[in-house]
Amino acid sequence: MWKYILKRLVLMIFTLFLVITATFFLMQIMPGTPFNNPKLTPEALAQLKTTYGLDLPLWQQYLNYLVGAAHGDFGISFQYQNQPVSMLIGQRLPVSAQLGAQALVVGVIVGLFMGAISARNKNNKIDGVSGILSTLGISVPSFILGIILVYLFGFKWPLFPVSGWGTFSQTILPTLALAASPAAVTTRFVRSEMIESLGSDYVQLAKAKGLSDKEIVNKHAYRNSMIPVLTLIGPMAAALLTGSTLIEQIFSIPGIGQQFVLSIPSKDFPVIMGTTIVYAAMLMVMILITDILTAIVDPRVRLQ
Amino acid sequence: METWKKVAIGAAAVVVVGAGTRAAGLWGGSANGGKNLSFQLPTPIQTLDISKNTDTYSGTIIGNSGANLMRVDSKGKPQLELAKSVKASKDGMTYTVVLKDGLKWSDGSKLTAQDIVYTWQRIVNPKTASQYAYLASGVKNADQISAGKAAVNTLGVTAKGNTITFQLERPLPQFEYLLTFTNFMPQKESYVDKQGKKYATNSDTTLYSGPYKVQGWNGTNNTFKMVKNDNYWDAKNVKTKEIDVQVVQKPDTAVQLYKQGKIDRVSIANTPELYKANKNNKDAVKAPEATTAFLEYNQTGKNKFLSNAKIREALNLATNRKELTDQVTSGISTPASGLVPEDLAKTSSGGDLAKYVAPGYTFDAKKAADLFKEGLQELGEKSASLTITSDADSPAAKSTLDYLQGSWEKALPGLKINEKLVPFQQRIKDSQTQNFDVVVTLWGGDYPEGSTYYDLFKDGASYNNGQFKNDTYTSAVKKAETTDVLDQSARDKDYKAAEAALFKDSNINPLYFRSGYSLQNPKVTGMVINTTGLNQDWKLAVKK
Repeated sequence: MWKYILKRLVLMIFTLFLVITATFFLMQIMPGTPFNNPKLTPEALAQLKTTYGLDLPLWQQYLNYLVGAAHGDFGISFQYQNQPVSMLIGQRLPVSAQLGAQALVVGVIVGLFMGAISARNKNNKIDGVSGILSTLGISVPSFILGIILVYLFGFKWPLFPVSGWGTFSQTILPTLALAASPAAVTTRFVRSEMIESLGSDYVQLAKAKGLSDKEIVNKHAYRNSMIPVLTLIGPMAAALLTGSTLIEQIFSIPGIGQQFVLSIPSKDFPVIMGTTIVYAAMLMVMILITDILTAIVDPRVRLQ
Repeated sequence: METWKKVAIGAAAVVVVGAGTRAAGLWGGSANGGKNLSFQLPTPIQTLDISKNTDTYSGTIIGNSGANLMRVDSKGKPQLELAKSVKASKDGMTYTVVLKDGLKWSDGSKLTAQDIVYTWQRIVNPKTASQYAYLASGVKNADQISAGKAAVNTLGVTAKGNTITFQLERPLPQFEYLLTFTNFMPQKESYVDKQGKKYATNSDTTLYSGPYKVQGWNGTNNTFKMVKNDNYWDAKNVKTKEIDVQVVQKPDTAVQLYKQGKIDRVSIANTPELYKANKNNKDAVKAPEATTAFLEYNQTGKNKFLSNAKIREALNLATNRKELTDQVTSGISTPASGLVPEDLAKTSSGGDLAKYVAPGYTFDAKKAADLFKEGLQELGEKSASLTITSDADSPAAKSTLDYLQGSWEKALPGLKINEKLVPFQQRIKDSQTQNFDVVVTLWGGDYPEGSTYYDLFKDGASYNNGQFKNDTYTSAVKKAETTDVLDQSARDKDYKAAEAALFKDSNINPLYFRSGYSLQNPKVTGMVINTTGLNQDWKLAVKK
């Protein structure tokens, strides 16, 4: 097991290197410079390029970046004057992480309840309603839901603030918008798992023992169907990571997604590189955690 | 317990906790009952660094938390601020400024003439790498220093006691406006050095000289405050104690917040739909931007059609600017009457410079068709094909190209127009390397004086993308900037002559003066809106 994790970590570093290289050279294809002012004279532009080392040959810029990155120095933002990229990301990542975690917790809890209720009411009206809701939750993109929530609870019935970050109430609408998809996925997953459990031999045995329906469901079926949900958390967290980019725009949340979107049109090289690396690393860690969890939960899976 | 009971209890708990915390004021957000002003920015601010900032909205915050030697009043004229007096020498080459007594920084320390010298040195210092170093061009040695060819202390800005002397290399008609700029507001050297890399990256590592101090900006958050600076020299006239600033990126959300009374001014010009839905609101006000959209014609000889004056004139006459503005900007902007935009600058008699210099651009399809035919005959051609370049980043780009293509091809038989939409950065590059036939250029003024536009096409100017030579134009502009530099009415006449020369040779084709539209709370008074420099001055703004 430990050997396996170590192997994966080495592979991750290699993948990161590929991501850095690809991003670095792809960025060079974009026209222009990070100095967006069309009024800069060619002389002033040349001076700025020298100051920031952008006049060096490409391979040298690339090597400089790699050496810096290896030492944890991701450069200084062009757009956010004076601010090191590590600080920019360091301040924004916790915001995105909090938003993602809240959405994940809400989504999974709602999903566990709804899935269980659906399974127990298999094929009746309650199950039907839950089926429709979960289909909607999966198919309606979070940013559409976000706009609907803003309209309903920000303006029609102004209960919650619709922009910014800092107070708990500001986190409610974006959390709900992001939680819909994990809630729907979990619902459907738990429902099918539980229907399977309810038809299994040990439930039959429990019934034969004379246990009440409630005890059967709570003590046996439900617990067993909850475990596999763990394996869902990795992919869902990864989806939240990308989904939050748009939600951060809609609700003006100072997270890493907002940062990423703003840095591209302004060609803020160091920030684009830094955010890409962070996104790639987070995604790889999520996948690794999922694989490990799957192996723990299901002994039939062997990691090697 | 039955499941539904659990759900019901859970729901009740949520309601109770929610209502309780809300009543206890833990929710924030809606604390706008008092006389605090509340403003919105459409993008997060990037820095509080006076020398390095290039962003308009960061500039709004810097300008309202900073003071300069002069400040623009509600009539658009520079008035004394930190300065007790500003005197120009007769040849316009030297300015002598005396500071007021007892000036202080927000931390209570003394604000001195040296702080002014330092800020000018810092912006031109190549180590600072400010994109706005060129604004100091014309001050003795500024260009040499920013090119790394002269020492920073050779700059023509020096202090003795509380007197500052500015020595210029050439007379600058806009000089007094430079003394109002946010990028030239004073900075304290010892403070900047002490903060080092952290300087101006959040509200606690910044020192303020202006009406307000920034509070609670940690470098990333989208809500913060501006609080009155009691050490500001004119604090007795600052009536607002606190301004809430919040970033709201979605324009329609911002408009809704305005309607709920949560923000006091909001733009409605971001999309045509938003404008149409709100233009009849009684709070709607026009917000001109002092930006002209115009076409540049490649006159290097690369394109023989555009080297022909008759064909250029035909294109100008075939442009229906009123119809274009209505279709492309839903009528928010104003049809252009020349290069210099409306609401940029006033003439010596107080009129609008754009109106005064307007040379008479008109729409005449018949005359255009005749001229086009003549032009083609001169070249021995039967038809012409031209490509118009624009950048895809601005919302009106595609519709502008569509309109020009449709109307020009209709008015001028034998003309074929191709559209080329490229990213903003590519458009700049194509313009500078003359890789275009016709290009849509947007130019915003830096200061309320004609030279911010007329400098564009002087001989040897790097912004003359069409690379035309117009001697009448160049000599008129040079006259304005040398012999007439301190005589505004003579300068107005020079600019009028320059504008007429551009018109006569059809060197460019002005399309529209870009404008915005905003909703502004009628209870808020005293706010100064500028088309250049500090776009919103909140110093004297109050809410009744």
